[in-house]
Amino acid sequence: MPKRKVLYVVHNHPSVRPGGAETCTLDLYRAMQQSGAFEPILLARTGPPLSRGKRSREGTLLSMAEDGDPNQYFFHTEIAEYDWLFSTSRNKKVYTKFYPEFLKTVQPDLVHFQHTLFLGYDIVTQTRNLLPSTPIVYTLHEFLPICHHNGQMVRTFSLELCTHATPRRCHECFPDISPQQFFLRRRFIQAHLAHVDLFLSPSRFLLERYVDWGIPREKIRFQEHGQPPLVSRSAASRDRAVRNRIGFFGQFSEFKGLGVLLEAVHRLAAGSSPQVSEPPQGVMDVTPGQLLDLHVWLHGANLEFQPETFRNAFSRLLDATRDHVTVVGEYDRRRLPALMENVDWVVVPSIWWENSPVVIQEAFLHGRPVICGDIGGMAEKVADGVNGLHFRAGSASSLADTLRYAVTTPGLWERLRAGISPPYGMDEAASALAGIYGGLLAARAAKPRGSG
Amino acid sequence: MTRTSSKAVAKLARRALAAARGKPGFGGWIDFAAWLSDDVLLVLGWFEAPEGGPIDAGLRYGGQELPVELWAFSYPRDDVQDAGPRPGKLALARLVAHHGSRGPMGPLILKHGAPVWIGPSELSDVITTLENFGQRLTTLEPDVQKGAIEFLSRVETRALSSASDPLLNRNLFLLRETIRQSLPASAIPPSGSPELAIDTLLAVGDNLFSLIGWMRAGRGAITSLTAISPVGERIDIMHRLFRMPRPDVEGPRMLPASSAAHAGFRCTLEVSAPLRERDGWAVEMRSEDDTTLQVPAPPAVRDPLTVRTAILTNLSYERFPSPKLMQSYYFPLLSRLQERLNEPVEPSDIVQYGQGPEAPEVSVVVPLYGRIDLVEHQLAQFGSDPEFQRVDLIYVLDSPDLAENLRASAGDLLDIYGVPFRVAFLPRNVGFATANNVGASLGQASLLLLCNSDVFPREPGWLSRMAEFYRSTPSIGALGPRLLFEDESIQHAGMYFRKLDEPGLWENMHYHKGLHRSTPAANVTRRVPAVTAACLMIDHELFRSVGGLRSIYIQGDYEDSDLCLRLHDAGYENWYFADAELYHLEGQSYPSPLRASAGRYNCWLHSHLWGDRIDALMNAPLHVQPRLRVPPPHPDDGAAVEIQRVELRMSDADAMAAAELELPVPGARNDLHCLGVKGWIQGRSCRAFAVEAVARGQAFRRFGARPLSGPPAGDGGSPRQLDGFEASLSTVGLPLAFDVTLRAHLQDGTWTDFAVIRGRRRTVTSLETPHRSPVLITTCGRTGSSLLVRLLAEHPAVVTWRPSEYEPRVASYWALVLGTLSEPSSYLQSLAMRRTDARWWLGNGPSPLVDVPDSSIRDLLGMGNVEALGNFCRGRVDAFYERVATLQERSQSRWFVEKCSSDYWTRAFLFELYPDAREIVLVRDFRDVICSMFAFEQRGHRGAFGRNLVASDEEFVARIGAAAGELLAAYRERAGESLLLRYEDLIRSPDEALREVLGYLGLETDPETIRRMLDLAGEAPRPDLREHMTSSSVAASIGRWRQDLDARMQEACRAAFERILPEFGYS
Repeated sequence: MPKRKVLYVVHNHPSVRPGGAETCTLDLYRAMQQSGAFEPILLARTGPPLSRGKRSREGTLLSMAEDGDPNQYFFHTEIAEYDWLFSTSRNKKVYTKFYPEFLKTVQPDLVHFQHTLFLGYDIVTQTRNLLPSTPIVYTLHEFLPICHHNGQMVRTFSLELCTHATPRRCHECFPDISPQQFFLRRRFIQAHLAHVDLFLSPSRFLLERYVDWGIPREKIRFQEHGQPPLVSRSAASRDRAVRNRIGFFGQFSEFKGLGVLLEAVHRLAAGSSPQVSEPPQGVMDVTPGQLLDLHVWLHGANLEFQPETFRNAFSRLLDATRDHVTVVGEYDRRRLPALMENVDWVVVPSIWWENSPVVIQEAFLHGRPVICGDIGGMAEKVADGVNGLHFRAGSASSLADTLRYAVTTPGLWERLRAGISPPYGMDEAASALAGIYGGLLAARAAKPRGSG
Repeated sequence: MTRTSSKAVAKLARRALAAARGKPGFGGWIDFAAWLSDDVLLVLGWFEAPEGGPIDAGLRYGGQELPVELWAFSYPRDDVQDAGPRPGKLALARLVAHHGSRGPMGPLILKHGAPVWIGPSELSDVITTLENFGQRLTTLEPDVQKGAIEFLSRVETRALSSASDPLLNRNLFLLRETIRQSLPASAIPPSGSPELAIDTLLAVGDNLFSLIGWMRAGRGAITSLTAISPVGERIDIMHRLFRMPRPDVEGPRMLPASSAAHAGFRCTLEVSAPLRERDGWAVEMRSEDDTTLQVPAPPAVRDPLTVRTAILTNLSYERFPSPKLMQSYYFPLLSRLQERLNEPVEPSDIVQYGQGPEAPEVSVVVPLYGRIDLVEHQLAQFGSDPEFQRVDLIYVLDSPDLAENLRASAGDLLDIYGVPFRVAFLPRNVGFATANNVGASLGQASLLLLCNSDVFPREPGWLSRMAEFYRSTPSIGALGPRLLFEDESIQHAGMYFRKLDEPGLWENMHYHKGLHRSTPAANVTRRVPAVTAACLMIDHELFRSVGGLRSIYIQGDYEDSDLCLRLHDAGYENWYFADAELYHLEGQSYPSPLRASAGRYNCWLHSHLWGDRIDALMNAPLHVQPRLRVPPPHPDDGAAVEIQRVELRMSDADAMAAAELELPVPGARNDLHCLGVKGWIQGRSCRAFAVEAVARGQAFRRFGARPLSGPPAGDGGSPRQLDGFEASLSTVGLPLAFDVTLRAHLQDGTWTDFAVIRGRRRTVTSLETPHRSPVLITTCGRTGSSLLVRLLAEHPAVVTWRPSEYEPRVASYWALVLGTLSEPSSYLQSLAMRRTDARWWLGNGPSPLVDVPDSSIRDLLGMGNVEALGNFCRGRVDAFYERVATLQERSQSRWFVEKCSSDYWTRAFLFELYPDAREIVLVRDFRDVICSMFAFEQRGHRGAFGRNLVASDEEFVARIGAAAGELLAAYRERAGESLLLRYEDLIRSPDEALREVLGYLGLETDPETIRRMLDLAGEAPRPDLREHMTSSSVAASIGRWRQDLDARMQEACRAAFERILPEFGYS
């Protein structure tokens, strides 16, 4: 019996530009290939704005993604034809001409969407149309179907956390888009996602938000992302008397809370540099002259995609904290053990809910306690006082206090490090998913679906 | 000569001049140019040229020189020094042999003498929009502007008469309007000579025109005003003028005392023979002092859209146009224009996408104007409804300019959503009404649904429910569903009419607009005066026969109520249907600056056509008429109960974490007349201790929930606290198509719905339709029910038995016997007794699942016995009625009248026995009811209404308030099927009330019969009845509360009945 095929569809390929969801997808693809339970096929969308490549071929949107792997494809879509509000391509030929050609030839036994950004939700419906009895799985990463603000569920005008979307509230965030358009947006997306057999959510917090939004509880389940095994040695931990080395890993964006982090460092180091942005408020228990000895390394990229106001604020803050902060920049994952070895703590200062940040799993893999905000997916993954510390999300003063506590409390680091249990492995995840796929296929076999 | 000139123009001109001087050889300069039409260019600048034209000229264009005809108007320009006295020029250049395309243009060359080159060297550099050009003209001196207008009018007449280009006409007209409106109040001093000006001549049709202008008398009063047509026909217009203010020519000092003295005027002009010439009109004015003035009119504007815009603009200057002005001026013009604009049209193309359905039941017609993007959103929703595979879906594209876009995506949309549809492409824009009519004419089904493109269903299944209701409702005209805004509030739940402050005007109103969709009043399917065309179902043939939507209204307004009123006139009734819900994102299309004027005209026209009819309709005493129940089909497939759908639907996710229903199973078919439910619930913060089953808003069974032993495995979460429940619910008395909602009662006191069970069932009786059925008088006491029963009993087809002595409630009695003994909790006692008191067999305890080992025994108890019981109970009522009919020698009688309480379950079981029973809900102003009760008790019937059981009169009033509330609930629950009768109507106009009641019972209503009934009943009131009466004269009993009740009691009544009285039509 030939091996059953699972098609992974994702919005980007890590070789084009690194990112959490796409990295997870490629890791999963490889693990599935290794395990042999299913034959994986990867369809990664490409094209601007993420890639610089232009479409070069007539008559197909496909090209090969990885030399030597016949199962990894690029699928090119045009950003100019992409409707950001409804997340759909205005050029419907993407769905009616090019995607069918691929899908009908490959004939997967199961389709697992990892992300549909730049592909559009229509692709789900078209998958159902073309393969009426093939199970469809859809992994939810952030809140894009719910929230037009980059799926962050953060209000545009105040950066307050948002709890639920309604046409009126969304219109408040985007006054140029009418509530009626937002109403249509939700109905449009839900009409397409109705064809999904099972949604997977890597955090319970995210799961609840989607149930609130309208996904039936029986169609969604919690499934953690797997962590790939260490590619080289684990980061060693040299004995140090003071655990004062802090690492940030992630996109250089406003929502990742870089501003909060730098502001906190600035407060801790106050007096050593001129004031920036706003005068420190609230707790200020470090007086000038009693400087806290700590240093932060920032690892990440994509600053150029951020709004100018953020870029300016970021560079001002960097300037003010230059004695305590080092920008490492973009890094190769293979260098991660070395980078982790350099730091004691990993900080996740995001000002949005977060879902299941890969960086937390990576930190745990390397035995680094995590300092993170006390909301959403972060708080769910890090147990305060067990394997990391929580601070009040969005609050620079709370983060400053927490950093100070972390750095100055003897024995704390060792205790929290001991509290880390090994993260959920990719092999485990792949085998769990294989089980889920098997269950869906068995259910389909028992109850064949006639059509659409 | 001129003192000032616009600084901006001067500055630009100086710069231009400098440029011209810098390039020797230019003999003039053009500052601005704009295209008036494909081949006519308007230019503003300075050069030497004779006034008028045409002047020969040329234009360098794409390497060659095109011949140009030029007409010029001159005016002074003090910034141009070394030129003649009036070097400024506004000129019109016609490119004689030019066709179509526009490209880079070289310089203009004047050829009336030696060739003179006019700068700039590339004319394209100074091309601007017509709008900018017009704005530029308004910066000129007022008298120059005036001259420019005259020039433009003149040049249009002479130069362009051969060109009948509507675009040109329209542009010229708009340009003139732009200049004219910018003119400041005139400083022309009052002088001795009469003045007359004609601003606009509008050709509304071939023989109908409108003239707009102003005039002023000289020394003598004006005696006549005559329009002279191009063919010499003289039309007196003096006596058909409608005056209007013209502050620009009247000036502040001359504000007239009466409107008749305003300088401005407009009038209609009718000529005897069709006239297509655009120019040659003149107007002649004579005055007392024998002066005569003749003024040429500008050429007639013919393009109907431009003409309509001009007329609506005119209307927008008046906030309160008089009825006469509307009737004699605007109506003839606008109605004629609407005819021209909405002439029937054939689609230029009809394209079928996908395989159209064979023999469709419904044709859905969606006109598209502007927002074709909404097609995708509609199809995305229709696609999830299997019914749309069988629907004849027709899009009518009324925006011809978007045809290409729609063609480009239609095939792909079919591919993605799988819903077949047709598109009718219209060759021109015809407006909402005509687009709908064209779509309807293409429909293949016998039912039509007119549907706007911004209407989206809430969930699948709505269309067949509407169709089913439509087909089962006699005399139905239009049917409209509930429409919602995007925030779940009501956009439409039927329409009615509201009187405006201006006399004779009515506006359309939507019931309950803006309230949440759960508003109880909107949950009732009922007759309404009108429904919206945004989503309107109608029989195809009926739609055709009444002429479809009428396009007499401007831009989509009132067409629907006009249709509904025509249907009403033809004897049909319009219905609001609460059981289908769609969203209507109202106002997503049609932005229009002239909407207010159009709306004012539409409102006037609609009121003008229908005012009397609306008045009668809105003032009818019982404008909500009941609907006769159509006997439901008895399912012949044998299942007593069939479960169609089971849905877990948590109304409050904050209160409840999860729930599960093991029973019933969707698709299950059951031989028992009951329904087993079993499952568990999990509160979020506290436990659940009871569950209620609710049908038609009424809780009918409550049972306990118990903690389940051993939490089932969750997916890694904390152990769950689950509360299990199981019970059986008798289905007797439920609607034949029922929705049972399960509702959990949590320990913190909240109630929350968590599941809905939808199913069908059959009735328990299998007897033939009875010869005689009950008429139930549902009421609360002291409402004149005895009088009504006595009156009805005088009809030969109606019987009753000694109503004043005994108040028989035969049907109620047997209905409750059936209800009680068909409960599993009762009949299961015959197997295992759970209680030991004397009433043990009633089974007034928990209702366990009917879990009897032998299925044939189970069926005997739950089906055989129950159905035998149903037939028996019906038989006993029939027998009683028969005996009475024999006794009274009325064997042919069809109805037995008896009273009935408003108790929900008595009535539910009763309609189970007699699905065709009639119900009259009899009400009376409850404040009078209170008076009557007090009076009755004081006459020695102490305790008759329970006054002795409560502590105070206030408490007594509150109790009657509760009873009135129950009566209202009973009426709402069967609204549309029961007849509402007010005591006051019965007393004030007994003839009419009786006719209503007899009509409801399907009995003859001739005046003779009614007269006889009234005579017989009025003849010598029996002593017992007199005893019953507490007011010396019946008519005096209406409104007696105002005298009889003191302030304290009136306040108590206000508190008790304030909410209820308006619902029954009391103020």
